[in-house]
Amino acid sequence: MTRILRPTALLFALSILPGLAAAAGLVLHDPWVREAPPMASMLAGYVTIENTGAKAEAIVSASSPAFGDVEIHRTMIKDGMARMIKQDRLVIPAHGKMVLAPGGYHLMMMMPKRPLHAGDKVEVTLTLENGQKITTTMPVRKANDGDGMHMNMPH
Amino acid sequence: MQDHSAPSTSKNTVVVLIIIVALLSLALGVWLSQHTAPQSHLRSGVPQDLDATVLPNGKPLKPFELEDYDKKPFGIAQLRGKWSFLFFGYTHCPDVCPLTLSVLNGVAEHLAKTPADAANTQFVFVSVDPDRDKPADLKKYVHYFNAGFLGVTGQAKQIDNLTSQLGVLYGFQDDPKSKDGYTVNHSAQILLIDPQGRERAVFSPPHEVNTITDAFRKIRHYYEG
Repeated sequence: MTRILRPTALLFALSILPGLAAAAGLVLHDPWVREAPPMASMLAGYVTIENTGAKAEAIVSASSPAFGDVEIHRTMIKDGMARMIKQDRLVIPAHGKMVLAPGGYHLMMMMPKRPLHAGDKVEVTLTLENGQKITTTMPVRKANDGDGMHMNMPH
Repeated sequence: MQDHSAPSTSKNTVVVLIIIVALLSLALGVWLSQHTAPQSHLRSGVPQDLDATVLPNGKPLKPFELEDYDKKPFGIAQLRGKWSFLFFGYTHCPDVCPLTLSVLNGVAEHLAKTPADAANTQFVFVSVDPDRDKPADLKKYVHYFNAGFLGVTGQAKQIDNLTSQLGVLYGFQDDPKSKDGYTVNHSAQILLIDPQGRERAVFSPPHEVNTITDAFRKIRHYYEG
């Protein structure tokens, strides 16, 4: 009984908690898209993905109706330069989490279909290796970098 | 080999003597450096406990010719008399540049609380992507972060003239999905140039508002004090 009830309860929780989505034991916390400065053609999205399950999960792709394309990238310092490297798999360890934050892992959101400003919301779908999909709403906002709230610090 | 034991012993003695002399010289050098008064206005050494790499004597920059977003020249003359934070990037950069520029905005806001530290301090974003970053775009871009920030760029040769002196690297990478089919890889450090136009400190990522603000205050007070 509980197995059948649990997803229902979860769905109910999802409906009352905007910005929080779950599938296969994955829970998304604090999703957001950095408001892009004028002239910028690409935006970056961030989220903390928690895995409450007992086995590791992997996200293999991302998409959004608001963008022409979304890829999972990681900013890495290599040979003295910051490079953005496309990630084919984003693994979230069992009972662990993966933090997408400025200066590290992020969703590279390309070709916005309309200009986006703080206050706008975009829908983003993450696809897991097992085919499951998680859809969440990511608000566009200005960053808190000036407050020192960045670099792998979940809000 | 045994036959050579006598000469090798005397060779060893010479080596030991050389080491002793070297150690004594080193000790004398250390003693002198600690007991000699620093020259006024041009303190040597570096302030301690900083989250930054400080160049004890500063590295004087050679002339370079860039232009700011109002098409005014930007070179050594515009660095003189000011402490300048320099960051290199491009406006289509989605992650590192907005992050760094908003951290620098935080530094500017913190410094504004102590006017003496904010005085004669400038923040300069150098675009290494002049083909796309036209002056008007550059101005809108940097002003998004702080209306007081300066944006400069120039011909590739002139950009290289500055980046090569500062050890800043950048390169273009094909990326069919990105705007215009490429992205730019670039160094992510923030450089601090002193009012004499010398590279004085390097802040390596990850950047944090408080540590940069604190380090800058210490550096400024140390060399101006």
